[in-house]
Amino acid sequence: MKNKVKEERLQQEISQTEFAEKLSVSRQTIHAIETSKYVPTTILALKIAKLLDKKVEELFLLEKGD
Amino acid sequence: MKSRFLFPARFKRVGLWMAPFGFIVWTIIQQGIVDIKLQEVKTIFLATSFFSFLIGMVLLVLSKEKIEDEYTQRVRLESYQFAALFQFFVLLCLTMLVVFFENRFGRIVFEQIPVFLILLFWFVYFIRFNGILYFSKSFRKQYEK
Repeated sequence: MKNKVKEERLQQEISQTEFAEKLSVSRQTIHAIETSKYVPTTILALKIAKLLDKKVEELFLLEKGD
Repeated sequence: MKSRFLFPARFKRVGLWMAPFGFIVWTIIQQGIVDIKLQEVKTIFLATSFFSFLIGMVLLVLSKEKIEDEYTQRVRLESYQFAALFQFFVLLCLTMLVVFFENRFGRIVFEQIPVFLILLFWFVYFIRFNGILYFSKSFRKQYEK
């Protein structure tokens, strides 16, 4: 699964640290999500979408092998 | 998801001091670098330092991170699994060593296997867990303010 979290975050000029604080997760988690090393839970994905003011399906995209 | 079986994060700092301190003192006395003539005193020091090391290790590996979130819990679970697999592999190798090379070296290894394997599990877990969370190359490269 790929995602556009980093793109959208940078567009809104939010740092990784700030982003993590607002979501109450660690910066390592944000980094892991942005580098597609970790797929967040539904709750976290919804929180990310809400914070970036986007829909979940706009941020997280299914790939062929998923 | 709440972690019910982990110590609070502040205990990690205690473990960070206890484990290496206990190990160093135990090694120094065990190897005879510091010679203690009284056997009872030596035993007390050895026991205290070894327990300090053990308890320190438990605090290090079973304490929460400052921010304990879903990713941390996943890395924690995978680290337990990796450590268990690694421990099993080492056990297989050591058992083969004892069975096929039935000499003095093999017997000494066999007697120390249980303690060694327990400590190996925690050591491998600690290295993998912290390595992934704090020292991964891609994490350091892409650190942003």
